[in-house]
Amino acid sequence: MQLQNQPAFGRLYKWLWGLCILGLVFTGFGQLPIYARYGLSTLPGLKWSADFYFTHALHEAFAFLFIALAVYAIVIWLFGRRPALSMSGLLRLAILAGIFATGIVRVLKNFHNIHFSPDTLLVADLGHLALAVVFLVTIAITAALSRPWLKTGYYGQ
Amino acid sequence: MSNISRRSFLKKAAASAGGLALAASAPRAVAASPKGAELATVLDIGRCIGCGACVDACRTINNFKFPRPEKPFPAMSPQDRVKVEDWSEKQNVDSRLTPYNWLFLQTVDVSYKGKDYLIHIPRRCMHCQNPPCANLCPFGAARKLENGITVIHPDICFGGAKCKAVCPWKIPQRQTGVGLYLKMMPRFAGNGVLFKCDRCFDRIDKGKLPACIEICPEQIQHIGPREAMLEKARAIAKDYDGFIYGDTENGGTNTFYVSPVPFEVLDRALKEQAQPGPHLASVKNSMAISENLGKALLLAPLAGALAAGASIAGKLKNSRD
Ligand code: SF4
Ligand code: SF4
Ligand code: SF4
Repeated sequence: MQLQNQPAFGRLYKWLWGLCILGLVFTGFGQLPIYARYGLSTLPGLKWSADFYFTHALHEAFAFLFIALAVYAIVIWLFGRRPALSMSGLLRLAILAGIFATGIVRVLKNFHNIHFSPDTLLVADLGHLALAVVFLVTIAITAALSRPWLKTGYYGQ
Repeated sequence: MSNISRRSFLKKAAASAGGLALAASAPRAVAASPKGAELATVLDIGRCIGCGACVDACRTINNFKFPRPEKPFPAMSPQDRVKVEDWSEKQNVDSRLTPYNWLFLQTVDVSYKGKDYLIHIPRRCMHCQNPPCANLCPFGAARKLENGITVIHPDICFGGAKCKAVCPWKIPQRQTGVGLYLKMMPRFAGNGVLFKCDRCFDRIDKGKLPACIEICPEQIQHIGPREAMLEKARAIAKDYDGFIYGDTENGGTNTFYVSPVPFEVLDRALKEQAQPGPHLASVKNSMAISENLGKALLLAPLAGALAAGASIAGKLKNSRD
């Protein structure tokens, strides 16, 4: 995230955000049965990566961090100077919102008394996965092109 | 009862004449549940005679849902870790769960309180109330229907067998060479489709009984709304001074076994007598951690807002100083 010029988004925030995205991606893809198939879980210290219950719990822990960091950013934005987001920032925000919404449905469905129709869940499940892939591609491109979250010209003002 | 299932029923000489008369009067129960109520089943295993009519009926009625794999199977990578699971040449196996056999009988010889018992236990999916197979399926293929039935959609399942890995009883069974993965990148992802008891949901939709329940000559199986079935299970257990399995297992299932012998004794006997397949041990709620973490997620916005509040307050203080 390119918000380091603001004290409210210092190094700790940036570091936590990176850790959170990395953790979500790793544990998220761990929900697919691929780590055992491709031998990742046979590497020393990574046996846990094939334990679906464990990676699922970790994913939810990282989701906690994700929501907390997102709300932090929103509150800072609301009470700060409300800098405008860049196009790529808006795009990333929209994808993250989609991932969040489908993720929440996935969290709720795990509750004993909450039932969604199978089709709703199909959209949520596949949507969550597809948006995660789109997000990864987007951050790879924005990082390669050094596109900031906020409109250029804001920093250092 | 269809002609086919009746034929299979008659084939079983072990079925009693009384049972035949009773079974012929099917459909005898209202299979449909009131809106919102989950369906559950009761299996009074103290009275099961082990005739196997239910197993045959399940295989016959659900035959049209069984896999028809395309051969040769596409090669899968990495070869040493992804194994072909092919039951298509062993479709006759009915002594364990397979993609072609969704119900089988375990039989154990046990003694309890000085009495000997030969107990037959029809085994299939328990239809958990909060099924980890459906909750954790990454593709939405394993799903819980509104009436409490858990099914695996054969056109969506990718065959990764995660549902089996997370099922406390390891119920779903994989067949390679069928399903969606064939149309994607069969070498690199997927390995067929997982199959299991779907509680004859299509028959239930038409107001019919599941085949295994309809055929049972002893009428040891019952289906209906969960609360009513739980009451029934408790009443049978009271008669026996017996025990119930499935009411609280894995946080509650929609299958209640009732036995005159404690399930720990049966579970031990299953192991000692080398019976294949699902255990009868007590099972903790697999989704408990996930449910608790889900509740904790509700606090995440508060944590973020508090941190932001602290940060803003700190900045204000700094600017005043
Ligand atoms: S018994 Fe296994 S397969 Fe059946 S609903 Fe429960 S978790 Fe799913
Ligand atoms: S309910 Fe239907 S699918 Fe399930 S075991 Fe009985 S006959 Fe087979
Ligand atoms: S449940 Fe009924 S049909 Fe099945 S083996 Fe027992 S007595 Fe026979």
